[in-house]
Amino acid sequence: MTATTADAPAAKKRLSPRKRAQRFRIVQYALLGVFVLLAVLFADGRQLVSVFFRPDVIIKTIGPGLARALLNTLIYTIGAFIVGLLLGTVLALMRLSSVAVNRVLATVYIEFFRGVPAIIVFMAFGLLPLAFPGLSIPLDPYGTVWVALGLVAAAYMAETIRAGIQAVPKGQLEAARSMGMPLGMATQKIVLPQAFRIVLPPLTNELILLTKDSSLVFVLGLTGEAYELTKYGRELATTYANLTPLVIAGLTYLVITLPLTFLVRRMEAQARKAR
Amino acid sequence: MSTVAPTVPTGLREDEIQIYDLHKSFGQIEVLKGISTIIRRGEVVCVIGPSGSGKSTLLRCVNLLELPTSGRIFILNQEITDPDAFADELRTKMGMVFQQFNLFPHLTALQNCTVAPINVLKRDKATAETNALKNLTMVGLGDRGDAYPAQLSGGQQQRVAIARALSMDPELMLFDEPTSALDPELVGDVLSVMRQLAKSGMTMMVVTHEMAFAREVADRVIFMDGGVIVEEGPPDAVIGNPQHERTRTFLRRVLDPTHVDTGAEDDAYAARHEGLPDKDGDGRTPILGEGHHSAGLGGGGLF
Repeated sequence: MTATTADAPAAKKRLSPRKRAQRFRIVQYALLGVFVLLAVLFADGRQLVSVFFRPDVIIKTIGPGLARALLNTLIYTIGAFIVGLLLGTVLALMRLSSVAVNRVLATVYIEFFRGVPAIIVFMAFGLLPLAFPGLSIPLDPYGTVWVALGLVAAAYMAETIRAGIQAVPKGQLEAARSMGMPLGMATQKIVLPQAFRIVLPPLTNELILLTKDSSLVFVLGLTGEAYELTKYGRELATTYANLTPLVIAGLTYLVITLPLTFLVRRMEAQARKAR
Repeated sequence: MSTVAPTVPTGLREDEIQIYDLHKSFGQIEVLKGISTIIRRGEVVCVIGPSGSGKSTLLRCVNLLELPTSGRIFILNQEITDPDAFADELRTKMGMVFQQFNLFPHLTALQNCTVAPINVLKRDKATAETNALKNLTMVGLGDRGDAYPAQLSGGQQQRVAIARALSMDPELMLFDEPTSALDPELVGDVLSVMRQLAKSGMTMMVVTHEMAFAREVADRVIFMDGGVIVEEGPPDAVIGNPQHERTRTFLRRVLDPTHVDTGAEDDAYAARHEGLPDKDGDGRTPILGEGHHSAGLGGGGLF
């Protein structure tokens, strides 16, 4: 009897899960409201606009120069992606090779380029002509950017592609080999097409990261015609002593990355449906 | 009824597969403990036996998907186990059908049947497609050439897999439990294609659990247990009147799944794994786990 009387008031106080969730939601909205209120109270709108969104600078920033920079960012990114994809595939196959030398070389490469900051790689790359007199990479400056950015991207892509290859069921290779396909042919015709289908979403994510990493190539010392978005924004920001151009440049990246993000989400949804 | 194990290559033209004293170990576990047999042209040989008896491993050794530990295998009188053998060329003469179909999911049914003829045999696309279509029609799927594997039922996929193997114009066919992954109502179509193939004179080595099929179609049945051939001969002899207790026990379990005879089953199990350590001292070997053969789970009915 004592147990029942002790339990009864406690049971009354207990909130149902639904009510608990409701209250938790209210608290979150309330917190958001407080933050917005603080922002409005303490931020000086006019000051904000003049630092980040000065209308006259916006107009000067948006123009053929911005389009040119956007195009350059695209060219750098896509070129580097192709270099990275080709080299990354080779590295992935080397990591899975039965020849120990291949595995060791690929592992060293991948761990090196994944572990060293990209900006340091680019700086070293900018000095390559000093280290190797007479060395010239074709299609300068595009070729240089493609190779520098592609070398780093390849290390990341190699691991993604390797995972994709290993995700292809073993029976696929066996079926191909059982019909007399040599290993190389079976890999090329049967395994890789399936592996790339598997890694398409993560590879597109890689492309998004690469788009942003292309902003690092400024350390290669590009000239006006070759400016990409970030460099373009920095130059104008210095000229007008105002941050607005950089903000505009930053927002322009979204023109590239948002559709890609959307694409990845759709591909992932489709892959889920197919499974 | 068992034939005397041959020990020397015969060199006879009609010998399609010759296996001499084949051993295969995976790590410490010896799965094949000296298999010898010869399969002649046009012969249909069904390999039966309990799971873990090594019959699939035997089949996979024949086309070198598994590398034998020792022993020699001759395909069409060429040694495939020779380290310098052109194994890929010999494989083009052996079609293989897998338990899990292993169709290429990124290719249509027709492309599944043409990818190897075009790339390996260097046939031109039109010739390969005509041949592929002929084989797809033979398996009853002449109108599904454009379908992707995912759009086909399991039975249809397995029939495409048979057509794919046939499109290499092989001299012999290997079947690795081709109906084990199928829903019961889909088994019949696959078996009737195989029956048709056998009637056409194809040399076939079939690992199967379909006793009725083995009895009807096979020229010879090989019963394997514990990595050795226990008994082989005409199906009426091996399945109808088995000479060995292990064969009888196995057939009892397969032909009458509701039959509970745990004593004989445990004996057979112990015989299969004799020599393996018995750590828990209950008279059973620990390799496959306890539930696999415990009487409490319905005896042989589960497997």
